[in-house]
Amino acid sequence: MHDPVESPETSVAELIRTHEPSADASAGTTRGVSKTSRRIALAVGTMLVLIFGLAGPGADVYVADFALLACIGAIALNLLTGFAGQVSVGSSAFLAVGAFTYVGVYRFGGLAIAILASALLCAVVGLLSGLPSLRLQGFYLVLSTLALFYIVDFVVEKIQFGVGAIGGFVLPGAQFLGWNINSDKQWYFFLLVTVALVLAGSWNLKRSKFGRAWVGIKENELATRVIGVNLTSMKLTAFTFSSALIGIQGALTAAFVQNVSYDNFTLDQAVSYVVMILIGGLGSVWGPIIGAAVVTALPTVISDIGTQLPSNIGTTVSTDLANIELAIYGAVVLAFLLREPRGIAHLIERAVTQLADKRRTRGGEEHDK
Amino acid sequence: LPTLYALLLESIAPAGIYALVSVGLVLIYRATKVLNFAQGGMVLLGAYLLFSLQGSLPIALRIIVLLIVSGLIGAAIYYGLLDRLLGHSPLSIVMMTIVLSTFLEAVVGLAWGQDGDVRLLLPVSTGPVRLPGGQMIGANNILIGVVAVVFVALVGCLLRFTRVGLSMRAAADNSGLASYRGVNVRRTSAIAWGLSMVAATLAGVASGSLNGVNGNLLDIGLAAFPALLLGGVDSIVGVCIASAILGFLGSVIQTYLSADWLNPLMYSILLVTVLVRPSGLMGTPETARRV
Repeated sequence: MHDPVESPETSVAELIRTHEPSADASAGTTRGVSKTSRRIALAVGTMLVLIFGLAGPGADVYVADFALLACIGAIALNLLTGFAGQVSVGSSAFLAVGAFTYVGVYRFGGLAIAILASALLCAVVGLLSGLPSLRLQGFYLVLSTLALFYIVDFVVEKIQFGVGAIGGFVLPGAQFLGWNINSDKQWYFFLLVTVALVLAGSWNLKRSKFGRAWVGIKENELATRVIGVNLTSMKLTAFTFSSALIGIQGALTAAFVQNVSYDNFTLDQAVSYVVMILIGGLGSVWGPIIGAAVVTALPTVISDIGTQLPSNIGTTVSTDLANIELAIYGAVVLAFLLREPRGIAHLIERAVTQLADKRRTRGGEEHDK
Repeated sequence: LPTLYALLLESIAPAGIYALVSVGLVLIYRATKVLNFAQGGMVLLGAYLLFSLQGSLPIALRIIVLLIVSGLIGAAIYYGLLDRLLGHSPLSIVMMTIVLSTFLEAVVGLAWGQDGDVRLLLPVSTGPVRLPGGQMIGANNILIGVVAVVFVALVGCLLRFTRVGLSMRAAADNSGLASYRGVNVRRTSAIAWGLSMVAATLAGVASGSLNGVNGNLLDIGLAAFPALLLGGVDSIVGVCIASAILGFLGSVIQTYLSADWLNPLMYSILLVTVLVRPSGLMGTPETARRV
């Protein structure tokens, strides 16, 4: 049960030999699930997601929109924490920068311009916030991202009060390159495409020279430097990519909820992204998607269960929803950290692999090739 | 505008609270090499424990029960979570403490959330007292200062003059060597966590007597980090000095600017400290490099 994910003492030779340090996830076709079955699963999954968007009940599509937005942030944080091993509680700071950029620029060309501007601005802020990581690690880095949060929170508050929008900014419906995106369903498909692009990007990044360098930094900084990786530029690119993506999420969220206020961006929110990547599976490509879906859907599921319960318990559930949710995912994450630090993604992967292996041994040789 | 004397008096309570929390953080850091982001959750829990004991026992007994229970909770957190994560990456441990804070917040919210904002009853009157020089100050402010000084002095004596303290210092210095020499490192770590939780409870009670017991107590844990880093993560004397400095600076900021400026400015100080002198005022330089 207690197999540690990454031993800090990974040897240099080992790092050079395995270009894919977390080789457990993509075991290839020799063992486990064949490529064809993976493709079929992907196709079926895509179909289900599309059908849900077309025919799903309105309230659920609305929740799904939030889950998709959260997916972007979780994938982005996973690049930084899951791949490169740099812990950050700065997510809500970048969300705030992205959202306020949208408020500033949406008049000049809608979402498309706002996405570009937020990504750029957040990339710059992310680059700056990554500078301390060149000297600091682990705990100290968390503190420097905390400092970033307090400073950004302060600045956006002053901006908001400065222009006199005490109650927050109310925004019109969004436009993307001339298309109006108004209904929850339109948002669903728009966000679906966005998340697919971001996911494909992260999938490719993981196998690029950046991804390998990042995983190397996470596993053993010294060894990674020894094999000739430029730590400075690699760490900074991790921060830049990750923050730019979160900035985009901030802009999209602002456009979707049509309302921006400094007090929407909290430390709890930043922690919830850490929770997502931990539950989903640190460093896995699908993990953040699973984590984002679980964490976003949990409040709805809990309140649904609450209405089924006898009224006295039901009211407690509905009044204390936020705390129940926090307690549940707190407990779940602690349990995962102690028992299965690779998260749900790994549990699924393992279960599927075992199932496939069992079937293959029973079915004889005809399944192989 | 207030005089320097008034500002100094005003800074007693915040300095005392910073000192209690950051000394707790130092104890945990020295024992387990962890910066505990859950200290705020522990402060919150401690304050609500006293609140739930309120009216049940005589006050002196109540405080004793409270401190014993706190110590046990701290040790339980060590044995239940930290000890089991030994050997995992530091990444897991950082994130564990972050999530633990959220978890404690939620548990406290579920257990006592309906009680709203409450004020703790303390064994002294919270009314104002007149000091030489004509200044008025709440009696609890002075009490907080006294409690902080006494607690830190007791911890200092424990570390300096007792056998337990000696083994704690040995374990903090080099846990491997200490365990070869027969020190039970897990036990000294558990004691450190227990003491730290006691400190957190005292800080929670102190702050609760000033501003009431509510969810905002959670922020005290994070507010103490600038004092911790400025003082040096492994120096009790250092963090006490830093707490006094930042407590005073905090009163100045609140008087001349506003409370909004507190966190950004304090954390800017932290950022500068960490980048320019990671060991702080009195920490050991090697320690800072290892984190």
